Amino acid sequence: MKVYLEQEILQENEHQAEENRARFGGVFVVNLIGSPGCGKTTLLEKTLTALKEEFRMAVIEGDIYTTKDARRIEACGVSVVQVNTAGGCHLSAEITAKAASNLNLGALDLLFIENVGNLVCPAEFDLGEDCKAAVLSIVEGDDKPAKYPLLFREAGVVVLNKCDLQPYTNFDMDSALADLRGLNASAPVFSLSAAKGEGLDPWFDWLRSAVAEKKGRQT
Amino acid sequence: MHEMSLVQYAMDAVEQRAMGMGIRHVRGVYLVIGEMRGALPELMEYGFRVLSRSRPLFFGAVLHMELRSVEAQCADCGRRYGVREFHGVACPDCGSRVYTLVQGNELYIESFEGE
Repeated sequence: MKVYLEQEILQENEHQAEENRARFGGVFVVNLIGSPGCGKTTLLEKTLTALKEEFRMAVIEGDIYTTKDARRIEACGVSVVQVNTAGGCHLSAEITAKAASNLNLGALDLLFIENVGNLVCPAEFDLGEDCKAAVLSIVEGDDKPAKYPLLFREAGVVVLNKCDLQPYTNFDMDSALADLRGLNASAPVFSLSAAKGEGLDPWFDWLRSAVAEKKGRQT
Repeated sequence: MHEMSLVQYAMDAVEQRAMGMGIRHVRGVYLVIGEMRGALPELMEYGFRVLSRSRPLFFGAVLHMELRSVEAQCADCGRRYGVREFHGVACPDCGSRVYTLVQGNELYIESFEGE
């Protein structure tokens, strides 16, 4: 007997993601995705430190084995839930739900989920976030949007990090941006250096308006 | 390497439906996978083989995959064209770099066979 399903493989994950989205309520949720070493944690440190007087924030920290990143976030004075995937290459909606149950969501404005360092797998899994933020450090090369189209297509915002190093690389900004625009015409792109603290203000402003907009939608 | 998760999700979905229908053995599972999803067929097959050994419903079952290539449609002239890589994508007719993807993003279970 042949049985036709015509069902998305990830339907179960998507259901859970919708539940998460409902539970997150008025909290603006950002899912940070990028390669190992692209500067996700440094970007978070700078962001949390700069915005902690303005917003009530928390972080779900996905890490394959260690608690190193979680400790760096904790040092910023923000609550953090550590999730070890024990070798798993991505977070799922279910893991996110478990992690979020440790947070007082009603007392938050902004939640960051730092995904496992990987440009492929995390792009597939909706966690219930409002926005996927693709973080690409320019030292990785200008061909990355073209090589990892799913992530850059899904991204609601793109951060190009380590831009202070551009003189030392052959990163072709025009080529990277042209490929990116083909895949994703609408995502804002922020060129910055998290480590040097350069160019961060437009990113902060974008977060401010996203948080305000999410709150506005809830009331 | 998220193929293992994908296969597991697919098997769970098939199992749920099969159980509801009183099907005791699944012979084949048919998936449709777009090339931009980054799911490697070899790894999907491997995952399916390994997982089916511990799930009696799937003993000896075969995973069939229909792969869909990536196709874009020009936003300016409407021409449909194949995309081999996402660098320098442009319409072969009018040269426009604005396009929508019309194929290659699939990731679904088409059907299964069982009795």
